[in-house]
Order: sequence, then structure tokens, then C-alpha cells
Amino acid sequence: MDKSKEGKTRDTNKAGSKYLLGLKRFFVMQRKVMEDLFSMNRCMAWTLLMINFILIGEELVNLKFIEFITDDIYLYLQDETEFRSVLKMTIFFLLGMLFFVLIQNSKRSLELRYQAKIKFIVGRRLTKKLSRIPYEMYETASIYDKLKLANKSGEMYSQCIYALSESIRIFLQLVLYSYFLIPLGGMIFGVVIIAVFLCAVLSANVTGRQIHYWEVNVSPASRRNAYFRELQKNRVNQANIQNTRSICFFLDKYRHYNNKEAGSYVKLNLYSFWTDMILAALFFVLFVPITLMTAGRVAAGDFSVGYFSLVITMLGRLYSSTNAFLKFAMNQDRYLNVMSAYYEVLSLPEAVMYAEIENDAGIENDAETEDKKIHIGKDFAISVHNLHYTYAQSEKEVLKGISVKFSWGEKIAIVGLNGSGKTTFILNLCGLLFGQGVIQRGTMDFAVIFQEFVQYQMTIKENIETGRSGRLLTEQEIGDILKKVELYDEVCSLPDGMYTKLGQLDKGVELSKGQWQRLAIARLLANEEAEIWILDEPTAFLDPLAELELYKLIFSLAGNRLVFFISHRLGFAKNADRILVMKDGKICEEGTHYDLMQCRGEYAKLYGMQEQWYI
Amino acid sequence: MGNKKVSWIFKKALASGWQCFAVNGVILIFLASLAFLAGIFLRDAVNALTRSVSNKIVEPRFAVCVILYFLADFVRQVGGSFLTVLGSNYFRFHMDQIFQVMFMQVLDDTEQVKFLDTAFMKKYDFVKSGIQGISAYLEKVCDSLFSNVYTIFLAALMYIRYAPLLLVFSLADFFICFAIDGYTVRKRYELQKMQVPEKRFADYYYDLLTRKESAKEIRLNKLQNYFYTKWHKYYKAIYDQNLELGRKNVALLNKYYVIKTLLYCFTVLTLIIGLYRKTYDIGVFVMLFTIVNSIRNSISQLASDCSCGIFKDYKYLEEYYDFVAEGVSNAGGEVCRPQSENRGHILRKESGKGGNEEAKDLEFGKIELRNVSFTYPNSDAEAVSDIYFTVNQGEYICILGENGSGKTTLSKILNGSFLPGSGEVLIHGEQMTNKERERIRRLIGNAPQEYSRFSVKVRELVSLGCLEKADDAEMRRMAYDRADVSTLIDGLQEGEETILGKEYEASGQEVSGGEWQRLISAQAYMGNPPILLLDEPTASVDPFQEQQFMRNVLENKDRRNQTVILISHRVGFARTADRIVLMSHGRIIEEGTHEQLMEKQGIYAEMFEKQKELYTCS
Repeated sequence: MDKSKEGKTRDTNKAGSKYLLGLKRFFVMQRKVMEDLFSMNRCMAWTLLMINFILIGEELVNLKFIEFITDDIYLYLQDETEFRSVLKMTIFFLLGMLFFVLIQNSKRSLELRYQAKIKFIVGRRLTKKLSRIPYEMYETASIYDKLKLANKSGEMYSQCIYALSESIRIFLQLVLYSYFLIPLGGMIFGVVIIAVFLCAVLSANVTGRQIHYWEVNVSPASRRNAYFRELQKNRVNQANIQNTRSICFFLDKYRHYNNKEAGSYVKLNLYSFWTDMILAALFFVLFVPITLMTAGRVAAGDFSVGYFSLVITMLGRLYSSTNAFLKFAMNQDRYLNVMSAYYEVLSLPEAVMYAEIENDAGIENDAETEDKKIHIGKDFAISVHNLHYTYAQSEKEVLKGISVKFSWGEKIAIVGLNGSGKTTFILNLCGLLFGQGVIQRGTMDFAVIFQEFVQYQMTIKENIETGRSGRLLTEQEIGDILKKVELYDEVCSLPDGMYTKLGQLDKGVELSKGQWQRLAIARLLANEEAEIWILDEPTAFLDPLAELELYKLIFSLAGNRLVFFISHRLGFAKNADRILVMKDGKICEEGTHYDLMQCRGEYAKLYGMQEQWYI
Repeated sequence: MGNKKVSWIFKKALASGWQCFAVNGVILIFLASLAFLAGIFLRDAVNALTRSVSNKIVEPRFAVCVILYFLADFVRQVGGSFLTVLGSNYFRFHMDQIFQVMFMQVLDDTEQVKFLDTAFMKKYDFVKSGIQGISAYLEKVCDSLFSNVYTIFLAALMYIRYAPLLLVFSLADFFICFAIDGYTVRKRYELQKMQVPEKRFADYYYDLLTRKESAKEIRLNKLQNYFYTKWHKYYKAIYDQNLELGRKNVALLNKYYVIKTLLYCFTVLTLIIGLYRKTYDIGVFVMLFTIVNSIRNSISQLASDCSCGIFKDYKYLEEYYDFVAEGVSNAGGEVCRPQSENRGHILRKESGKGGNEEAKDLEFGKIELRNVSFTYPNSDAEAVSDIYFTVNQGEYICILGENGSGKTTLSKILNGSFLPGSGEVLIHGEQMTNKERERIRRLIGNAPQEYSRFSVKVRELVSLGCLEKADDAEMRRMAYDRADVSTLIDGLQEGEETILGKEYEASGQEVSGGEWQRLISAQAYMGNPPILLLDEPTASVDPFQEQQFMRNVLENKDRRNQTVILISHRVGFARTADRIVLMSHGRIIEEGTHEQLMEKQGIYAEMFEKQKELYTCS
């Protein structure tokens, strides 16, 4: 019993301090955002702020009107004044209202322009940034969460403007109300202030717990729900569900998680209910006596009837303002998360491709950084020493100490069972991943075909040009490349030739897997300056004849380039200069085909398995 | 015409989700009544106060009224926010579920070939992203009806009792708001529809720049600027258009607000004059004044709901109906088919069919394709043309061919994904209709080239192959063994209960491409289907696993008289086939056993010799 109580008080303190921390974060964030906003368009930002100040005048006018009109009406009813004065007062007030409406209008126009512009700039920044972050970040799941949040930052920025205005408005409102309450007596004024403060503290507690509950329960539930809701809307998934007739299974899953998410929201609402209760009870306990007391003094003649109206209106508004502010502060947490994610994404490092060594061993850099031409006569093209790599998500070490050197002109085949680390090794070589150990290389151009290469939904010509960072190629050049990969005739037979669009983004044509693979190889060929080629399963979808042709082509065009192959089809490995056999993250055998066959080791075993199909 | 569509949606919503409306309605009426009562108490309090001031003593009635007023107000505020949020959440989730499920069921009935058609995909993209809007719209309607309409009704009662002229002003306010909102929303909706293609492009390039799938190539080929420029073009165009429209709308809105304020001024003047004429006392004046202030919002909201409802959401509802109605007609009138609930329900205990029927289903005699042709949308050339192809029970058929020869298209026709453009598919001598397609699907264990990496438990993924036997642990074990994934599964954190992939569950486990492929083949083996259709099942699998895989396939085929159709490039697999079918440019060019084709010295023989050269030590 004691332990749970202890836990509870600890939780309370944690929750309370969490909320206070949250407030601190809030102010820090506001400052950052404000700096950002001002840097975007100073003039507009100032104007908006000024307008918000002016609009507080509207509140003042309103309250004063209530006071005076009630007085006037009362006096008029006592026949102590003329109706004309009442009318005059009313018209004066109404003119004031019109004035403020015009100010609101200009605020609205300004805000529209400002918010649209901000959303635009924010979207641009994010996209630019995300396209440059190091590839490694994509291997961790947290980037997706951050990304999803950061994507909402465009709208949240406009919330910031609103937040700023609200903060100013509420502050000025409180000042205004204090001014009106003071005649009631310093004690009452003091009591009200303390009440407001108490409310804030108590609510902070509950809100902290609410935020915690949100993170732990609601967010994951909503993620699960969203997954199953969107799952079926993808074409490939849809096809597979139809073929396995499993629609009911997935519908059940969706319903299950949808209900779970709905349920989690109920408990979440209970928390806000308690916040509201605390506030209401406290205010209720205060307001009624204050009202009665004021009424008494009005009856005694200390204050006018108008003042009583004023007090009762103001107390009501004070309650709603405090309520709104607390809710506002609660929602700010979501806003905070989005903005923090946004700033975090913006502050991510940008990948400098083919950077020199960055790792623990800290060996000296390779001096030749400018020379991009093919090095002839240099010792080694790439030198790897004791490379280790573990993916951030799992604790399993994928590469367990690889040391090997590669020279120019070598054609290297990398073979091994699935999971032996071939792809990870390649990714380290070309600088997408950074492991521990030393990789010595200069800045070189890599041209890579991956197993799951991208099928760009653009024209054939553009698809090939992506191999050259998008720079244009002449039709002649494209034709040559197409001839080399034996797609020329097929492409010519299409009505738009090489300008045919692919994919259904824009009514394009569908190519088969094999045709896409050839196109991917064409991309490789388009990049003439690349000094190192890496091909990861380049013939998985090609038929045997085509496979042969392809390897012949690669070998003939490679020249003095360093070429890496990964493939399960061991037939080509015969022609490689050197074969690396990987197993469990290490290189277990190395040598030419004939050497390795003599060894009768791992490679011989693998080769034997494939050979038997043909004997 | 449009009415019929939207009213269908309303009827569906009411039929399946009347509880949502009821709960929300009760809550909102309760709260609105409280507000009204608060107004009445305020009136009495002020009147009592004036009397107190006259008599120089505080009336007890005054205290009572004040307390009741504050009580009513606070209960409304406190209970209000809690109850409305509660009701709104319940409504949102429950109603959204109804429409999402309907949409998914219609998708399930849609021909797969449609997903390759741009026109269909445009409509589809538009509808799929807005389904949550339906429940939001219905909620707005519910709110409007029970909250705004009711509040305005009560206010109108007061107006009629004390100051009928105010009614006129309120009506004027309502109609002007209605007209303006309707106009602005219609314009915005039209713009959105117009922007759909641009948005698709912008989203596509954005995905390219930011998603994992393309991340490697973008970085290695330094394509960031290239795609960024492309994206920016569309992004800016959309921004410019939105801004332009926004400006026009705000200008209009500003004029409206001026008019609204003028109306408010007239209202207040009327109230004052009423007081002058002593039509009512000060308490009533205060109450009316409060009502006027609180009604402003309700009127604007109601007007905008009515007018917006006519365009943006209304139009979307029509699109949704159009999309879903096709499904309705396909399924013969009722979208939520009861019989679909019986198919392969993973939690059901009985298999739903008697033993005899099962046996009959498992026999198919032969499947015949006669003169079958198929063309993809957006393409002129036939993917497959004039195919005559028979599958007999117990055969091992290997389909070979170069890329683009139509192998995968043929397999899709065989497994029921596509309906042939012309020609017939006969099973048991009867032509394959939609119903027969069901039968074919049940017969086939399919391991497709384009498989889905569903992020579910391992045992669930594998049992997708035969949901009727999903609970049979023995069956699952068999499937694991045949696909050689038993060791893999035992190595996972929670064995077969592990969730694959971390898409939605942080505790999930990632598996590699080759491991996925093996799990998908386990799915195909599940339930020992009479036909195994394997499309490139060993593309990402290493030689050792490949050998194991083929050994399994052949062993089991012999043991159970299973029919195996293997589609692959690996000429080596075809050696032991009962029949080899060689395809080229959409036609079958050679057919026969390995020996027959080698004798023929045709293309197959050439391919085989070339591969042999590559793979044997010379």
C-alpha cells in the first residue's frame, strides 16, 4: 500500500515537473519560432503583433460599454436621465465596434498571406533537408516518426502566430481584469490571483499525466489503426489480399485496432475532465461569494449597477479565459512535439558523400581529394581495415571485422548466403553507411545498381539520365546506350519512343521486371565518369541468355574500373578476377574461381549446388 | 440526382450508426438547454437585483438566481467539453469504421487490372484520401442539427416573445453568410479538384526525395537538386493558386464581416429602443443581449454548414457513392455481403464446408485456357495473345521465357487476378465466371513475384495462404518445414507470434528480403493446395536455400500428387519438369519435355547450352 502511494506521489511530482518542463520548453520554442518568423518577414511580423495589441482595445470597449449602458439604462428607468444619452452612448459603442471589425479584417488578410508563405517556406526547407540527410538515418525507425510530425510543421507554424497572439491577449486581458477588480478590495483581488495560480498548478499535474498517457497509449494505438486502415489502399497489397481471399482477416484487424484507439481516447478525455472539474469547482466557490458581496455593496450604494454587470461579465470571462489558456497549454504539447521534430530534422547532419574517414580509429586521410580522374599506378583504389558494422536498430553485429584491399581494374565477385552481410558491406564501401574501422579511399564516383532499384515514373530518356544526376543526354547517346542493353528495338516500337512515359503516374506504359532491369543497367552506363561500379543482383530478373550478354557487356565496357558484383548466380563468378566469399559477416574465402574450387571449401559447396541443375 | 446519392449515404450511416447520432444528439440538446436556462436565471437575477437596489436590501431570490445561473453555466462548461469530446470521438471512430470498411470491401471486388489504369487511379486517389471526411461531415451535420438548430430555435422563441424584429436581422445574417460561404467553398473545391494531377506529381517527387526506397539512389547519383526542381515547380504552382484564391475569398469574407457588424448594430439599437418603449424590463434586456451575442456564432456555423455541405463535402460524398456503387452492382445489390463473412474467417472454428464438398473442390480435373489474350491498359501491344494452355492434375509445368514474354501475365490470368481480354478459361469444362474464379483461387497456393510484406505475426502471415486452416498448428508446422523457415522462426524473439516489420509496432522484428521470400513460399504451401503457382520464387534466395526449396517442391509434389506450375528464368529447374512451356512476345513458342526440346534444337536448347557453359567447370 505504501509502495503504491509512494509511486503515486512520485508520479505526481514527475507529472507536475513534466508540465513545468513542458512550459519551459514552450517558451524556449516560442522564442526560436519567433526568431524564425521575424527573419522571414520582419515588417509583417511586427504589424501582426501591433494589431494584436490594438485588438485588446476591443475587449476594453466591450466591458466599458456594458458598465455604462447598464448604468444609463438604470438611470433612465429611474427617470433620471434622457433616452438621448443612452442612444448617444450606444451609437458611440457601435462605431467603435465597426472600427475594430476593420482592424480584424486587415489582420485576417495579413495572416492569410503570412501563413501561406510560411507553410510554403517550411515545406521547402524540410524537403531540401530530408533529401540530404545521411542514408543511415533511414535505417532507424525514429526518423519516420519525426518525419511524420515534422510534416505538420507548416500548419503548426501558423499556430505559432496564433499562439503568440493568444499569449499576448491573455496577458493583457488579465491586466485589464485586474484593473477592474481592484476597486473591490485588495483582498478579493489577491484571492482571485491565488485561485488562478492554484488552478494552474493542480491542472498541470493532471495534464502531465495526460501527456504521458498520450505518449504511451494513444499514439501507438493510433499508429496501429492507421497502418491497417491504409494497408489495403496500396495496389500490390490489394492484389495479394484478393488472391488470398483474406479480406475478412484484415477487416477484423482494422476494426479491432480502430476500437482500441477509440477506447484509448476515452481515458484520455477523463484526464481533461478532471482538469475542468478542478477549475470549475474552485471558481464556483469563489465567484458566488464575490458576486453576492458586490451585490450587497451595490445595494448599499457603494457601486453602480453598471459596475455589478461589469463584475459578473468579467468573472465569467476570466473563467473561460483561464480554461482556454490551460487547454491551449495542453495542446501546445502536440505543437511542441511537431516543432521540436521539425527543428530536429532541420538540424540533422547533411551527408557529405564519400567523406574521408570518419570513425573511431582516426587514421590519416587520403590526400588525393581533388583528382577525380581514374588513378593509374596508385597502390590501391580502396583499402578496408577491420570494418565492423551494427545496425542501429538491432544489436546483432552484421560485419565482424573485414580487412581487404582492392586495386583498379579488378572485377570482384562477392558471394555468400543471405544474411552474410554482402549488401551491408557494399553500402559501407560506397559511403552510405559508416561503420567502425578504416576505409581508405579518395572521393570517387560510384555507379550502383541495387537489388530493389527505383522505377522512376518518368520518360525512358529521363530514367536513363538519372544515372548522370539528371544532366541531359542527346538522343544519339541514349540510342547508343539502349542498343548496348538491347532495348533499342523495343523502345523504338513504342509510339513515343524514348519519350514514352512509364508508370501510371501520368498514363504511362508498364514495363516488365526484366525490361526495367535493363533500364537500370542503362542508367549505370550513362554515368561515364564513374570509376567504381557496384552491381547488386543485376540479373535477378533476366533470363539466362540475357544474363550472359549482360556480363559480357559489363566486362567489355568496364575498362580499368573497379567493379563489384553481388549475385547468387554463380556462373558469372568464373570470370571474375577475385571472389570474396562472405559468411556470418566475415570474408571466409578469397581467390579466383579455380583456386577456390581446389580448396573444396564453402565456395565449392555453393557452386556444386547450382551446377547440379545442368548435369 | 445528387440527392439520391447523398441520401443513400445518410441512410447507410443511420442504419449502421444510429447510436452515434443518438448519443451525440442527447448530449448536445442537454447542453443547449442548460445554456438557455442560464439565460433565464440571469434575467431573474438582474431583475431581483434592481428590486434589491430599489428596496436597499438584497433579496434572497437574487442569491438563489445567481447561484443557479453560475451552476448552470459551469455545468455546461465543464460537462460540456467532456461530454462533447466523448460523443465526438465515439461518433468519429464508429462512423469512420463503417465507411472505411465499405470502401475496403468494394476494393476487394475491384478487378486488379483497374489499378493499372490512370483514370481509375485518379478517382481512386481522390476518394481514398478523403474517407475520414465523411464521418467529419456527418458529425458536423449532427452537431448543427442538435446544437445550432436547437439553440437558434430556443432563441427564436425568445425573440418572438419579446422582440420579433430581431428575427429579421438574424435571418438576414444567416442568408448572407450562407451565400458567401457557399461561394467561397465552391471555389475552393473546384480548385482542389483541378489541382489533383499537380498534387499527385508533387507528392510523387516528394516521396522520391524523402522515402527510404529511393534514398540510396538519390544520394549516390546526386539527384537531390534534379528532383527538387521538379517538385518545386508543382509545389509553387499549387501555392500560388491557393494564395490567389485565398486572397479573393478573404476579401469577400471581410465585406461580409462588415455587414454582419452592421446587422449587429441594428440589433442592439432595436434592443435599446425596445427598452425605451418599455416593452420589457431590464432583466429581459440583459438576457436578450446575452442571447444576441451567443447566437452570432451559431448562426454563422449553421449557415456555413448548410452551404459548405452543399459543395465540398457533398461533392466528395457523390464521388464516394460513385466509387462504391460500382461495387454494389457487382455484388448484386448489397455491398456488405454476408457471405464474405464466412470466407476464411481466421477466428472461426468450423471450416464451414462439409467433407464431400471439400473433396469436390480439391479436384479440378484440368484447367484450360483457350485462345486467351490480354492487353494492359495504356498499351497497344497484347501482353499475351492466342494462348492455348492446359494444366492437368499432378503435372509439374515450368514456364520459361525472356522478359516481356508474358509469363507473369499468364500466371496472373491463371490465378484469377486478371480476366482475359478475349478467349475463355475453362475449369471442369465450365467457363470461369466470377464464382469460378473463387474456386480457382481456393485451389491455388500462390507465391507471387510482387508479394506484400504485411506487418503481422508470422503465423498470421503464413496462414493467409489458407485461412480455413489457420488455427491448425500442425498444418502451419508443415508449411514452415516445407519452406525451410522453421529455424528462422525459432530464432525470432517470440517465435511464430513475432510481428514482422516495425511499421506500426516498435516490438516488431525486421527480416531480410530472402527471408521474406521464404515466408511467402510458406504461405503458398499452407493447407497443401492442389496447385502450386510459383512466380520467380528464388530470385533473392541463395543457392543453398534454392536447392532446398526445389527439393521440397518436387518431393511434396510426388507425395501428394500436387500440381506445380513454376515460372522462372532458371533453365536448370526445367530439367525435371513434366512439361516445359517456352514463351516469347506473348505467345507459346515451344512446348514439351526437356528431352523433346533438346532434340528439337530450338531456342530452349540454345538457352540450356549457354547456361550449362556458364555453370559447369570446363
